[in-house]
Amino acid sequence: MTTGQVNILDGNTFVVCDKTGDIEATPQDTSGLFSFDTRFLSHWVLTVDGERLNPLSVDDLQYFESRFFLVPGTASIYVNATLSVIRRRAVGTGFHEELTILNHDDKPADLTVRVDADADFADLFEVKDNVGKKGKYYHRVASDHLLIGYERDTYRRETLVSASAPARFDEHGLTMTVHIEPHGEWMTDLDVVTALVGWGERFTRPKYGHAGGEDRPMAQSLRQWLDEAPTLETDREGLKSTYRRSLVDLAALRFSPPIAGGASLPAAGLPWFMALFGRDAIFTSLQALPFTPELAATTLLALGAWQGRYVDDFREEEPGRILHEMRYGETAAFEEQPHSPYYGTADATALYIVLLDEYERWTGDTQLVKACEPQARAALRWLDEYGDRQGNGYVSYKRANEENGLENQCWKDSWDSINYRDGRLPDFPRATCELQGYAYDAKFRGARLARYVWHDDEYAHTLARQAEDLKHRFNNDFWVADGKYFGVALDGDGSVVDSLTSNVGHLLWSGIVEREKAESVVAHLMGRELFSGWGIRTLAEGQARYNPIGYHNGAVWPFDNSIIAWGLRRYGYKTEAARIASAMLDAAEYFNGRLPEAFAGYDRSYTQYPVEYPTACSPQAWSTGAPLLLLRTMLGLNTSGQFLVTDPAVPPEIGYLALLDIRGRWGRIDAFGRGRPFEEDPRRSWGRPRS
Amino acid sequence: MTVTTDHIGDFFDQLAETPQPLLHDIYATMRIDLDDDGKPWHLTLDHGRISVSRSDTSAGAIVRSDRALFEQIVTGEANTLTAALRGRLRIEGDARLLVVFTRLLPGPPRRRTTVPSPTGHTETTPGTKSRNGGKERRS
Repeated sequence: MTTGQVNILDGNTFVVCDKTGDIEATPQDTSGLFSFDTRFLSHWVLTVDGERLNPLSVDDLQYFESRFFLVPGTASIYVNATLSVIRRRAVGTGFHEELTILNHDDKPADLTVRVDADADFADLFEVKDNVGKKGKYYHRVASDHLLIGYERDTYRRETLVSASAPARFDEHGLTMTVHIEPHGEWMTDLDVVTALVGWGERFTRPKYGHAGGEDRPMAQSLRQWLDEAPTLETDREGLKSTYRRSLVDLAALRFSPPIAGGASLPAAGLPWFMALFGRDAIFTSLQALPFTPELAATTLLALGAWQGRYVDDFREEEPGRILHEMRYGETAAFEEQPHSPYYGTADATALYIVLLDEYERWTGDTQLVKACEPQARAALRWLDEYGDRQGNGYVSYKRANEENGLENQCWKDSWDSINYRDGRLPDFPRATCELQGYAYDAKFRGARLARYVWHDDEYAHTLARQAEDLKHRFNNDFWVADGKYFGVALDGDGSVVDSLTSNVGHLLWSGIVEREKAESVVAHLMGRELFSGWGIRTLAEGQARYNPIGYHNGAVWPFDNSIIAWGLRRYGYKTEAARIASAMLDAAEYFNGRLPEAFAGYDRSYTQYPVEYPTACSPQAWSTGAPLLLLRTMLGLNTSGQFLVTDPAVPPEIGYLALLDIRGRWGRIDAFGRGRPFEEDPRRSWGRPRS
Repeated sequence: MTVTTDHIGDFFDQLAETPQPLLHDIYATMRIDLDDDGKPWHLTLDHGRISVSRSDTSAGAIVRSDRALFEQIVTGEANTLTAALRGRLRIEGDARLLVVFTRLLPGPPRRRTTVPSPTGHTETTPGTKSRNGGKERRS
């Protein structure tokens, strides 16, 4: 995001405005009030006696609420201003703005207060790509409101603007005539309410009521969210604020799709991805599992409800496939984009099983796992049938929607992310290596669920055998012998795509790497080519397409690093996992506790601070989840039957580290660790039940 | 009025006969109000079994649609989510039930048909063109 912009958000509704609170969108920027992937306000400008206001300061009170302190006039004269203007804005179903003007003078003030308002109802995809509108706009003026609407066939979206103080409405906004006594104040509430006509309720007030009240449901919900999460104790002050920032951002990114019945799951990120993404929701739920297991439950239910059933090339739907992306904007509504929902992902289906098992291990909620049994079986079947596009026993992808489907259907989804060491791009189908790791893990975990929850030993046996077979074949077929690592993919001919990438770290997480191969994989991950000092690069230095600011070809992704750290722990590389945790948490402090989507892959000795990737989304759900997962890896939290096991390996610079009240099938347990020099192997200890 | 094929009637008849294992965990009622002369269709989804009647009693969700659109929906030609986003299909009450209902619908007509080969792997051969020119699959 451009600096100087203020973002407030609540699930898939968000406002992007300038430091005065004004919105003046141009066709291609993301200023505005957005909801359901549609811009419901593109213009919202406050003037007093015809003059724009100047910002003194902005308080981000909560993720859903900001307060703007303003004075009239231009910068050269505002020091003598006798008026203060305060806008306090909270986002909900639209937004609520409390506008207050204070008169500091000995004389009364008579003012004309004007708010210009308009809406272009742009689809987020149109904002991204600058596409013209196909429907008609309408404005309806009433004595107590202005209605701005957009209509294309039966598709209608409307914005209703109203005020509590007497106001004259016209097609372009509202005007209020204000008289304020000496040292007096004046106030009005402005409400902007959005409506998807024909979909749910119309024109309810924003859900906060008055922005100033103390008993707002949003504030309560945030308090409850923070109270339910474990308490962090540490010597490292910065880590405390990173932890709090992560929990608050995760709360902000909670999104309750119309299908979830009020329960929440994580949207992917601001501003482009305030929507349900299969992969992002699953990874974020995994990262946050020890902190907020409810996200995982909703994610599993929502993704299960939308699981593919038929073959549909436009949406790339296939029986058993878990969705990639769901959108509600105009282009989705008219099937100009396939997001209703779009299924073009090769990893979410296996990851769905991984989350299902990890959720059960952590919470003991066998009821949900039983409820999801048909979906889980269909997902496992997809891996063998539709996922295996070459008939070679590996999951691969090749888009069926040639017009607007995704070329790369793995997490590195930019067009050139999968490449050979010499820079060439492979043919399709592409079987990227981490997909095989996820499939192995899904089968392995599916076998456990079949045995212990679904009570189907034969199925368990089949899955376990398939997993072992896949592991064996994979370790031969993907191995790059001259480099001693796993290549990023198999190409259309089944030959290895030989570049060295961070994907090998995901293989450790999945457990598909044979023990004797782990040592050299770890050496590569922690070596100069991949490890920048700030984190592990997506593509190793020395590969032809390496570029420190290449989105998936050199940049460092916090989410990626958190999964790799988890993988290092799985294979017993505690010191290496702690080095990554330490580097990431250092970086987080440079971003005020909020890790961006990605930062540049420059060597740490070269840049003293991590350089944010130019167009990175922030906050982004799986970056927000990264510090949470890193806390888990540092404390070595894992489940063992009914118990929580801890095996801390805390970097020395973090010192004392404790998480209190970790919820799970054991009730609530505390975990402790202390940073110590790494030569000494930290003693294995069990989580202690609370007294 | 000439009646050719009553797709809607056939759809509901067949629904009542087919067990729905995917809905094994759900109990819900829903009603479909069409702008024709008939009474609303009333569905009771009871843990994988569905009973259908013509009744205007209340339900957990009410779906309103014109008959022409609903014909397209039950034959898989129209998508419920995009129809709802366009305001042609309206849902009142628990919107989750629209997703549940979607589970009961047939897939799009111009779809690939896939039959696993004896080795368990899917075979792909060219067939008729799908809407985006993707390859059809059949064995």
